[in-house]
Amino acid sequence: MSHDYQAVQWTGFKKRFDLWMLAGIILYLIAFLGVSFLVQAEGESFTPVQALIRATGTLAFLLLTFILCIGPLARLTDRFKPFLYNRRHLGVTTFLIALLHAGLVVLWYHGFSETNPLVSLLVSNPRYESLSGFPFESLGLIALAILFVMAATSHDFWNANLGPGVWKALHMGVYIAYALLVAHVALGALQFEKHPIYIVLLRAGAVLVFALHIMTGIAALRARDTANPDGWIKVADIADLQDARAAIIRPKQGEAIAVFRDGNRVYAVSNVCRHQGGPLGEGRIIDGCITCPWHGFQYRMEDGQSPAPFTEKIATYRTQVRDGAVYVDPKPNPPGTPQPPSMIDTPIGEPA
Amino acid sequence: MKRAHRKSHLWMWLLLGPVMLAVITLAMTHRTAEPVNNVLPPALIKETG
Repeated sequence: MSHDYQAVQWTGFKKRFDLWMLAGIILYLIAFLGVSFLVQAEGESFTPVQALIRATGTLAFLLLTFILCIGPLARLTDRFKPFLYNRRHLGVTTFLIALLHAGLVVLWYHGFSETNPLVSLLVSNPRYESLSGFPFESLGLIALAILFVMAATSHDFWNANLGPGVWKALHMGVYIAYALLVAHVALGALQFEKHPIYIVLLRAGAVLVFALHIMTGIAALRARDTANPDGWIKVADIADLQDARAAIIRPKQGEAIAVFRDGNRVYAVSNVCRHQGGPLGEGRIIDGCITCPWHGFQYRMEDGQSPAPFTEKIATYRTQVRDGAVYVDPKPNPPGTPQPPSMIDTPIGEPA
Repeated sequence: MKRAHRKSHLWMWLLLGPVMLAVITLAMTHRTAEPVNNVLPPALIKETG
């Protein structure tokens, strides 16, 4: 959100990102098809459609793996934040590629069936008790249905109507979709693909996503900042607070707090964006407002209110500067309460 | 992200991660030597030999 809010924010950056994404997808498909035919093993034969089925299948899996890595990676390094801003477009694109993959499979393998191709896909192999002969297509179909729900409700319209909590819970379904896709590939393509690259990619993808989410999840939950006997929490030494950036404090009780330095003023607000719960402390100060790194929702630092005509409000907190350090009172003010900043006497870049 | 959501995320991955890795391992150990065509209807397989 910004002063010139639009339902879809087609900023120059987003347009360039989408163009790069599209170019990358086309390049991948061309490269995959080219390499497939060049390194075709002796005795192995497949048609361009079958090669395209593999290309779209691997691409959808790799894209979803990357999308699920973006969140944790953006917590580890700022380099991945641009991807965080465009994760929604990547997600919808992944669904479209997966849909193309499924469409090609249904038409190619079941298009000439006497029954409906979709019915044929679901009933032609009833070996649910077998591991090597498991009807893996059904797993892919369920994953595709989940991705469809994600893509269809990705617009802010649904976020506003469902509420951030329900929307977030619904979109956690993507994790289940990923696990289903892993099973779909393991019990499907990997049962007859001879090339080790497929096994390596599947294992590496699953381990990477799992490890990153566990690592950052535990780190975020373990970090707890203890209050002094007077109830205030030390945020950081003044010299360690970067200008126009925030330090994030996680009190033992309540939500995380983002403490921003703007020149010689210090403000503290809730770290949770009202839009989708994005981490405000990982955002920047743009046009004098704290800007959420996820979708650009903005809040004034002095009172936690979104600039007019928007009405979102977040909690503010009291801050203190003493003994060369910044402190915050973890007790929140009601959302939208004006809170004067604490002033730092030391100019930026000089030791306190 | 709210703390409650962070916890749900973590629990979900603690559950899904091992399941995913177990499925991959099981699928690899039960791999048949010869490829099996589970996609084509049995009648069609017989017909095409």
